[in-house]
Amino acid sequence: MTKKYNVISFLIVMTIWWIGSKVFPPLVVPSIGMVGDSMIKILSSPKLRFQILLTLERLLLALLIGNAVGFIIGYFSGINETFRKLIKPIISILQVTPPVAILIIAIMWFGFNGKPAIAIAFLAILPTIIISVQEGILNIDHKLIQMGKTFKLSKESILKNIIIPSIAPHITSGWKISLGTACKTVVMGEVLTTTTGIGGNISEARLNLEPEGVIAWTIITIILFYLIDLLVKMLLRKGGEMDADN
Amino acid sequence: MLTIKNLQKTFEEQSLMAIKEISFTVHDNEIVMIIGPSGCGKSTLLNIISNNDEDYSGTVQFDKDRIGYVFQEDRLLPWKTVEQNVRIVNLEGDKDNVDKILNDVDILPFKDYLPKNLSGGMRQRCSIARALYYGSDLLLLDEPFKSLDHLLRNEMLKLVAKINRDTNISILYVTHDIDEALLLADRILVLSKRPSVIVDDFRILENPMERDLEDTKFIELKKRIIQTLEEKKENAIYQ
Ligand SMILES: Nc1ncnc2c1ncn2[C@@H]1O[C@H](COP(=O)(O)OP(=O)(O)OP(=O)(O)O)[C@@H](O)[C@H]1O
Ligand SMILES: [Mg+2]
Repeated sequence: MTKKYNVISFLIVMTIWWIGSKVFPPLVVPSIGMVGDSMIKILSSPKLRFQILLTLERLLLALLIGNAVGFIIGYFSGINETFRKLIKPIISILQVTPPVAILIIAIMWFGFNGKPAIAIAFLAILPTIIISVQEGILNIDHKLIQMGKTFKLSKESILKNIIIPSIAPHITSGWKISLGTACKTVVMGEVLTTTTGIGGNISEARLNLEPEGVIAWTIITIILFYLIDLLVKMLLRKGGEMDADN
Repeated sequence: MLTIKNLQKTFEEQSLMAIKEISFTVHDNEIVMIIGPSGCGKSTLLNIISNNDEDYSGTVQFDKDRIGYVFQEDRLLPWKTVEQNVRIVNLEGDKDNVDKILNDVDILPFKDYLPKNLSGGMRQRCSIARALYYGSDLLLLDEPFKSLDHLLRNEMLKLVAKINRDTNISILYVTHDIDEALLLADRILVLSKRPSVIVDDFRILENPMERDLEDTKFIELKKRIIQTLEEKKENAIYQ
């Protein structure tokens, strides 16, 4: 059912785009065909394909570090009230700090290479991950754990059958948000600090006055987002199936 | 098998005394039922007996292995089916037995349902099935049949009586329903309002579920319990 709506909404966007490209000059709204050509050019060139891999690597690094650090902090703020109160203002500050300000500091630390892009994506997703892990832990129903202990379930069984299923929904919704944030911020960081990766190529296309290139790279970023999300979902489903038979 | 001596329980944080002084023994294969006003500390007592609350004074001695607890709320795992919820407490147990027990509590056709798709009474029966499958030596029941219709409740009471007759399980059963207690109990304890003490304690010798509540003896007993509850209500210390 949702598939049907996905298709319809895709067609609506394409129609608006098509009308826009008829009304405005190609420098303002490039035609669908131009963007298509541009994408084919990117995907058929090994050199440009490598640029996608560069961004993917930065993205995965940011996600990996962000999730690892976020899990640890979120875990402790979930189980310890003092710690939770201590880091709450820090998280709030992190949430309102403009990413660009962080980026400039990161440039001063790391220089004009890919690293500031990783740093800003990492800091952008950190609050979401901390909060989702923390909320997951806070929402564990203590009475269910009591039930587990009454019936003498093993520690592993309580973890697997009670604690993880309680936390999981919070973490998966946090994950989706942070993946989107990471995609956006990594590319933005690249635009401003390097000539490599998807972002580097977007700023190059801008300099060459090629809006179709900007859009093509953007679409590739979006596809990257869905591919990673799909992959993670498949991995999680595999894990869930392995657990299902107790 | 279960001996409770001078049990006293105060919730320190609220400085609220729930149980003032309770002592009693549950013997092998005995059905002890507890009647008491709402909020007098019945669930608190069961939580202490089942080791869920270790902050009390007095002694609780249990000389067997397994305590099965049918909590006042069902406490089923929302992400597991009825069958999985039952099986999880005894993974080495005989799998066929799950079906038999689910059939006994009359929810076998729903074994693949998630708890959220069951009615309150069905969830409660699933929780009972879980405690039975666990292989309890002592079964704690906290108002287990409160949301069942009259007929089904009678069936379930018969089931409890049968389990008690066929096995060596002891049962400690909390209820608000005096008739239920008169039908099933070997022994009835009546608790006062909070902070609770035992205000009445008597045995019934006739076989469980083979009693005629219209009989003058039971009518008198019922009057006696109601009177005790009302008297002690007036004398109770309100905090
Ligand atoms: N965790 C708790 N912290 C503080 N007070 C509590 C706690 N649990 C129960 N109490 C208090 O202890 C008293 C007894 O509660 P309990 O749940 O044992 O009553 P009950 O006899 O089971 O009542 P009901 O028949 O309504 O289930 C109540 O006054 C309640 O407010
Ligand atoms: Mg209660």
